[in-house]
Order: sequence, then C-alpha cells, then structure tokens
Amino acid sequence: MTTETILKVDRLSRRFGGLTAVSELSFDVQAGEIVGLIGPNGAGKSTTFNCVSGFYPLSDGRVTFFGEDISKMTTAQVCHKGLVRTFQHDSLLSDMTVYDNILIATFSMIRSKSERERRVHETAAILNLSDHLQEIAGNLPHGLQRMVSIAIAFATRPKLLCLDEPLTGLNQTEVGGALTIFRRIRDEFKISILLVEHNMKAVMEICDRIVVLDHGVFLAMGTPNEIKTNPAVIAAYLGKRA
Amino acid sequence: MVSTRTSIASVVTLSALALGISLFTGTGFAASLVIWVAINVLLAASFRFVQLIGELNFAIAGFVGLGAYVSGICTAKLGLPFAVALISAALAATLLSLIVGFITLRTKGPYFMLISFAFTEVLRMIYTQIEYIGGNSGMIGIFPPVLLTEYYPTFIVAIVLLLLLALYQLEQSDFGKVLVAIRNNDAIVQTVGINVHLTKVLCLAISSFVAGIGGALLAHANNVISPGDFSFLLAVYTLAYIKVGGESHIAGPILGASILTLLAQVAMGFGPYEHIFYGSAIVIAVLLMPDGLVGIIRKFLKLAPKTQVSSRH
Repeated sequence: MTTETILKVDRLSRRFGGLTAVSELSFDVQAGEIVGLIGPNGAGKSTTFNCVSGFYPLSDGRVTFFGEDISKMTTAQVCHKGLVRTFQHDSLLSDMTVYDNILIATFSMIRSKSERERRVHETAAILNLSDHLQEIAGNLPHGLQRMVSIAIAFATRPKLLCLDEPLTGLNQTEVGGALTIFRRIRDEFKISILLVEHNMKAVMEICDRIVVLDHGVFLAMGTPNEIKTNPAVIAAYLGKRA
Repeated sequence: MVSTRTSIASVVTLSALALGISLFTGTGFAASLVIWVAINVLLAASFRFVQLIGELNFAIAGFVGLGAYVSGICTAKLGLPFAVALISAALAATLLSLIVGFITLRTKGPYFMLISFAFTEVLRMIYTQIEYIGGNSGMIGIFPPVLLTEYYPTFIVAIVLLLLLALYQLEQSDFGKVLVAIRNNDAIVQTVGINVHLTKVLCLAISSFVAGIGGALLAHANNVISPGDFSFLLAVYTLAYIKVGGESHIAGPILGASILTLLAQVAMGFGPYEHIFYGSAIVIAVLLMPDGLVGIIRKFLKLAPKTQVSSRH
C-alpha cells in the first residue's frame, strides 16, 4: 500500500511566557488515516491544534501540509490549503440557523450560489441535519450542536479535518452514530481526520494510529493495540505503581 | 410570518408615500423636516450596517463630516457640479474608512468604539484649524443646484430609499450573513477560510460610503456646515435612533430615526437640556424595549395569526 504524508509536524514547540505547553512534538498524518491525539488534561492537545491550524504562532518547529510549510499561514489561508479544525467550546454560530452555519463555511470556497446551496444540503444529509436546517443552532440539543460544528468544517471539503473533542457529552448511541459518520467522511470523501478526544473506547475503535502527549511532550505513537499495552502510556494515564 | 409579497407591497407603498409627501413640502419647515428625517434614517442605517459585525461605529460622525466638507468644497469653493460633489464625498469617506478600518478593526468591542470616537473628534478638531474651509465658524454657501432646489426633499428621499434598498439587499445576501457570523463567532468564520479582518474593513467602507453621501446631502440641505455639526454627538443621536427603533431589522433605524427626529423638534424647546432627550430615549429603549419598536411589532405580528385562528372557532 502506498501512503502519502499529508501533515507533518516537526519538533513543534509552543511557549506561553515561562510555560512550555508543547515541546518538540513530532508526528505525521498519512492520507486516508484517522489519527488520534490523546493525553491527560493539560497535555497540550488543543495547543497543538491551535498551532497546526494557524491560530497560534509556533515558538519553534515547523508544520508542513502536502510538503508546503504552513507554519506562518493564517487560519483562513490554512483552510484554503485544505486543513480545517473544529473547536472544543463555542464551536458554532449559535444565533444563526443550521442552514446559515453551513452556508458560511461554503462562502469563500464556492463562487456559485446554487452550488453553495447544493453543498449545504449534501453536508446536512451526511451529518443527519437535514430536518434541522431552519432551526437556530444554539437551540439544538447538545448532540446535534456537535454535528453542526463538524458540518461547518466538513462543508469546506478539506483534505484534513481536525476535530477537537467532537464526542464530549454525547451518549453512547450518539457516539456510535458520530463514528459511522467519521468513517463515511473518510471513505467517501477521502478526507483524513486528526482527532483530539477523551473517549478512549471511541478513539481505540476508530483510529488507525494514536499519538500520545503528556505535559506537552511526545510520549508514544502507534496502533491502538500498541498504545493500549505501552507501559509509558499506562503510567501517564493511571499513574506509576509506588 | 409575513409573506414576501406582502413585505414587497408594503415597502413599495411606504416608499411611494414618502416620495409623494416629499413632493408637496415645498421649501419651508415641512421640507426641512422631511430632509432631516430622511438623512437621519440614512445615517442610522449606515451605523447599523457596522453593527452587523458587532461594532459600534462612532466614526460615522467623522465620515459624515468628511462627506459634508468634501462636497461643500466641490460646489461652494470649486464650483463643480453637484453630482461630482456627491460622488467625491462618498469616495473620500470610503477611501479614508478603508485606511482607518484597516488599522483599527483589528480591535473590537469597547476598544474599537473608543478609537472610532477619537477619530471623529480628531477630524472635528482638524476642521477647526483649516482656514480654507472656514475654521471654527464653518463653511457657508453650500447650495443644491438651482434646478433641484424645489424638489430637493424628493431628491433626498429618493437617494435614501435607493441606498436603504442596497443596504438591505447586501444584508440579505450571503455576504450579509458572513457579517452577522463575524459578530456571532469570528473564530469560526476564520477557520472556514474567510479573511475576517478584510471583511470587517469592507463592511466599514460600505457603511462609510453611505455616510459620505449622507454628509453631502446634509451639507447641501443646511447650506452651512461647521465642525460642531460633526462631533461625537451625531453618532450618539444615531445610536439613539437605532436603540429606539430596534437593531434586528433595517426597519428599526427607519422607525427610530423618523420618530425621534420628529419628537426632537419638541425637545429643541428644552434649550441646553436638549441632549437629555436623546440620553433618556436610549435608556428607556434599552430598559423597556430591548429590541426597540421592531421587537414590539414582531411580537404583535407573531401573535396576530394565532388571534385569527382562534377567532374562526
């Protein structure tokens, strides 16, 4: 099987004053992969997301996307290269309808108005939002709001979708539904996914590879089975035996 | 819901009514009233356009002033045609807003409001220092073309209606939705590839284009302008129109500006206490009707169908 590296994070560091949130982190995402980025709270997962997607400037290191250096690009530029992220909190336009939420995402990507409308309906259908298009996004139940935030990012039809804790607060049925959608996005649209998530069962189930961070430092990378049995990961999550 | 056809019909009727009234006002006090109402409606709509991105643009007074002075220089000093004055005023305001917006719109909320407030006051002080435009005492002899004099109120109403329609169309377009999305959550708008900063600058430029025309119309209606006409108070009045009328629909500034401008004629009698009128209008509107008159009308319209249904039984 031939693989292509689409995202390469090379010794990424991000410091806030004296605090090093992420230190010399390196990993990559191959085309067609779903990669999990996990770690205890405060491990630096969201900071990594913010750096990769152009929200924070890097203190050190380099991020390349399809071989092109995107470290100095703005979030909007990174999006046009095909890398889009969602947010953990405030992840949608809560005062606007679901339709408009998705429409905004097509604005800079598609010229034709009718083509934009088509994209909105197609996106809504895949995320099971077709029946809610005219509802105000902020009034929807939590599970559907999560889907709207993914729909916004997915509507741009990126090459890499970075999802920041998309399963938080979902019940088991909803998690199952979301995972099916992630697979469909990957298989039908050839979109790779980078996933930050705390739901270990879901991460182990869906990810091809997992990157583990602890206190901003790279801890391990491997298949779910490798990660499950990695002593360093177990120690980071459960603590060391005294 | 009010159907689109009913909305269009009411807009056409109201526009025709406004134009009709303006035709019969002649050149007296009634004419002045029509002109003030129309221009204030325009300024309120311009102010509200920047509110779509969530900003209170106190620089509007600066841009109105710039439009007034540029158009005044064109006709009164250089003897250029009125049309040239009108276009120059709009372009000058747009151009300056592009520069000012590019620099200042990286800030938002109270920071942008304070900067825009300062901008207005700086421009005002600059006018006082330039002898060519009359310094502190202002410019005189700014007249509309003789042919237009009698129909100047109608001309203004027509231009205002045209600009309101354009602003409304823009607001309803996908671009307008992007502006509202920026107010709602600008981080998300960035992530989907939209240059938020430039979009905000463009929004301010469109609003300032309208404000520039408003300034030119005002200068040629009053015939005399002075720096004091374009202080931050102008922006405060405009804010009062919007707060009373309501922000959620373009009908808000139209209603607010019309009603307050007419009531202000009474307030003129209060002498130096006139400003209390506008201040209390804002406070009362914010406390008692959070979405202004538009909100009250909305409530009424939403209740109306229910009443109809129940009356059938």
